Amino acid sequence: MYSRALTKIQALILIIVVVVAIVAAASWYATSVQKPVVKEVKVGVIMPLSGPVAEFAIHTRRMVEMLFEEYNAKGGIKSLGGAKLVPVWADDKGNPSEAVSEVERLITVEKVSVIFGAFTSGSTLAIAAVCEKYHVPLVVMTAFSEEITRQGYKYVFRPHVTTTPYVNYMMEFVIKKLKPKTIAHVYENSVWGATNAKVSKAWLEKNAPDVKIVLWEGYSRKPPIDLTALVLKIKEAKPDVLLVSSYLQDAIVLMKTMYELDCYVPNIIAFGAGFTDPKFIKEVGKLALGVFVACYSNYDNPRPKAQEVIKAFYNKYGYWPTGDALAAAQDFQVLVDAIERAASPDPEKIYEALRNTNIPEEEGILYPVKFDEHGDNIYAFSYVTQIQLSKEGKLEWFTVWPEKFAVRSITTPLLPYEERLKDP
Amino acid sequence: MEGVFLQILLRGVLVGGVYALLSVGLTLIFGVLDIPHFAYGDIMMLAMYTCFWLQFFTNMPLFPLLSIIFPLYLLVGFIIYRVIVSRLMEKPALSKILFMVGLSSFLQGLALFLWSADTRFVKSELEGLYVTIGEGKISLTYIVNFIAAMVFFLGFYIWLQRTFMGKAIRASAQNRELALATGINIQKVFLISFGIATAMSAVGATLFAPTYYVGPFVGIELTLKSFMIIVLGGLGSVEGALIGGLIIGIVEAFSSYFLSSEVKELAALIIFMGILLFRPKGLLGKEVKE
Amino acid sequence: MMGNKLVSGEKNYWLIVLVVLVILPFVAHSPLLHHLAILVFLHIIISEAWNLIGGYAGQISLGNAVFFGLGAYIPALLYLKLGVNLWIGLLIGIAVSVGLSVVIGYICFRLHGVFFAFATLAVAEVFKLIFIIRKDITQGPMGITLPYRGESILEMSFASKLPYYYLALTFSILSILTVYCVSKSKLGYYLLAIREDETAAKSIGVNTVFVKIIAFILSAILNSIAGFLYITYIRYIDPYVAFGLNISLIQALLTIMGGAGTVWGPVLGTLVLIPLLELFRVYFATLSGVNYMLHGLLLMVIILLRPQGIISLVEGFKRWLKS
Repeated sequence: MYSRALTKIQALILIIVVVVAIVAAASWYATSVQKPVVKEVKVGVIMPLSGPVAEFAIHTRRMVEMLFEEYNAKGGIKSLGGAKLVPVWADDKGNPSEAVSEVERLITVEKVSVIFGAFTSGSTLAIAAVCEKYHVPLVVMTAFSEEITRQGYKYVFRPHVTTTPYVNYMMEFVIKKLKPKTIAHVYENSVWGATNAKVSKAWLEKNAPDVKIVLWEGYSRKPPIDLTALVLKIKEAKPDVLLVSSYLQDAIVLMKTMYELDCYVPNIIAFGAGFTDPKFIKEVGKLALGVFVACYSNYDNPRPKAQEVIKAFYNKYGYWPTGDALAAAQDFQVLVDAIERAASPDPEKIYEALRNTNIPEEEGILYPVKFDEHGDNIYAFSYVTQIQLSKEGKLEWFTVWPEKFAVRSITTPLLPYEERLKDP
Repeated sequence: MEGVFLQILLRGVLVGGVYALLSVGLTLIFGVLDIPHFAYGDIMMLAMYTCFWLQFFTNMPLFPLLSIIFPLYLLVGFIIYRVIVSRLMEKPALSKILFMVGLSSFLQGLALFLWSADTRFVKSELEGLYVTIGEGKISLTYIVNFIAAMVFFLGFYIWLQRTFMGKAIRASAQNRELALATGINIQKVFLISFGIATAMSAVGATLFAPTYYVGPFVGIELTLKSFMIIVLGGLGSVEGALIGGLIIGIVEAFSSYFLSSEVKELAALIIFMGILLFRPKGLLGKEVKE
Repeated sequence: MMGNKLVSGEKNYWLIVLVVLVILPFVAHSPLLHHLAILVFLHIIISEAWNLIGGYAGQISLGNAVFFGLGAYIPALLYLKLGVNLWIGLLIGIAVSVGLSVVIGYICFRLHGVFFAFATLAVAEVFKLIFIIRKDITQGPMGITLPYRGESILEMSFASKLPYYYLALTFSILSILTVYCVSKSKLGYYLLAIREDETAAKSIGVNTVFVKIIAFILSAILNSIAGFLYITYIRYIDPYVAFGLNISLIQALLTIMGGAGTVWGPVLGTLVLIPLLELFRVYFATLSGVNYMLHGLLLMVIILLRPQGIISLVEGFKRWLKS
């Protein structure tokens, strides 16, 4: 046994030490090698690609895919001699925990220069902390809640409109044009819905204290979504105007349940989201006739830059882009504008460029862009649309507010169910 | 207000009937094979996905689907028993539980891998048709599915009472040693029991699917629900599964009227814990095996 | 029983391993490696925790996530809402977990086998639901974020992973030592007796409920520490992760795979499975579900073929070495 030069145990230890040494050396080498000329700038794109929100996020996803393709086709990043803008996709499955670990991976493993995401307010809020920690700028894609930009983070930028201005425009419309005496709000209970509820309630208490709040309740989106109890409460509360914060599936369930339980309200106005999805109209049909839908923007937006994007989307995919998709287009514009000005894949330089963003009126897709101390765009605003019958008899959204952008006048109140569902 | 009360009660009963069918398989497996079938719900999940894909490609309505699902999952049950479960029978309880937990994880991963985390929906061809009861409407789907569930349940019950195999199964559940002594082929009993239980649960899942959703993680919820029902009704008792199912269905219907969905689940769990602690043999069960 | 010994003749080798682990982050700079190591240490803590109650005492708890979740939420909420120092919050969290483990243990240990398993599972679900429902206190399903406001030890916020690495390493060594001490003590002896035959143990005068609760308390403390490390490292948690079945199951899986009821079993299980799962997740992020399939398959295979766990393979290997 001892006549061997090395005992088995010693041999084993030697092997282990050698392996560890090789691993250490390899990882040292991998992290120290310098990269040559900049051929690409990597953007970490995180959003729901699968899971319960994916169905609804797909329009935004298609818009983002299209924009990346077009940008590279038109010559890539010009200030870096045509370097490619490379999207590194990650799926958060609509889940903030997933989002956090995916963004960690994007930053530490994929070494992206900037993060673009995450569509849902819940995930975006969670990843903002991670981006701040690593000093990697986050350009918010579509996510709405102002919580995201009220954490005191420096590295978070949101070009599209956020809760407070949106609520201002929307509620002004409600009070001026619909003149309710009683009002109710039902909302899904994640960050998005809960923030909507909080901000809109505060607005009412400050600006329209005479309007009576008869119901202000959140519900869970955990499947199977059963809103029976909620609808019965709405029926009992009898509001003049019903505010709704719903994603797609719950929007469909809500409208159908209200019909099933014979719950009629004179006016319904939705915080965009599910109500802007073409599938919504497809599923509930004429039940949606006359419903008001506040949104980031409609596809009848007359701004020339907006029309460019809208038409490109229609030509590629065969249908009009949703408000979320258009918001993402505005976000993308700011993202590439900053990268061009930074002329570098260095996250700090991109951060500086984002800070100094100043996109003028005629260039901005939805509006000019300049950031305040929170990272929100001081020029952003929102619209209100109404679902009406087009000339061809199809159900579509038409912008009705602000008045200077309105393409049609409003019809109020909603028709009773039998009339709504009648064939014209 | 009575209109609403009746509507809720009716809803509860209609769903409860389907629950009974969902869970009767588990009570059989517990009673006869003494296996804590943690993956029970996950096999139901597979059945629901089977429905979804069959519908996706052939647009088949629900009832013809059943005629495929039943024999298919009978076969699946036989195969799972033969290949996997039979090796488990002599192992200690710890191993049985952990193995089934492993199977459950595996099936969830498989579903996630093959079909992604997107939620899917199985459609009933009766979608959009309502029956007016009092002040509200009840979807026809609930009513028809309840009737179908009861038909299957009754059929199963009669089979257990009247046929030789059924009696053999019942005998084995009562007292395995005695059954063996009378010359019953116990392996065959196990095989048939597991197969029938799987098929029943698959049919139950199919009837349940239109009012729920299909996703890779539905299994755990269904396993927990089934377990709650059979503990309430009494392990090993078929009649207990019916009573347990109806009670849970009614409790759920009423609590979803008054409480948010999370509070409703919380209430159900607390009731469940109460039963486990104070009356583990349930309403109609026999002694509790340790 | 060999896996229980820290054989004195081999002390030098353990020292070498320790030194390697301590200097590793300075030699290998990859953040991915640090991240993997931190995850391994975290999982060693929770699997050793499960080992005490599931491995030694033979009680299949599927609800250990309760203590993990409390260990994460309590310090974080106290810090966010009341400005309480995170470390003090940890002590409070541990105290709450200990108290709850006594209550839950006292209630649940009346049940056995699958009933006990389901009962503990139900308890974890109850906590999950409570944390979702009481949004006013816990922010509900949106979860809580520990913000990053610059480097601080008191706030446990660091941009580099190194501090987390060393903290996790320290606590994982602590957890291994805890199980080692238990295994050598009377407590360990009683636990094994209970696992073999509880009625027999009772008949020779062992106060089985008391003994099980002690093991449960230790298990709870370790889980809470792991929860604390989790949230200070990841900076975000929600009720689904904190009290979810995933956490409860993985502790059981790692222990069984490695070898339940042995000191090094959980460590082995963790070393084999966790890097595999995490690397899979990082490099094959698009192939979702494969993680679960791997878990499940490994668990099934181990149960069928080698229920004593990987450690029995290691023992066999050691014997071959000595030949």
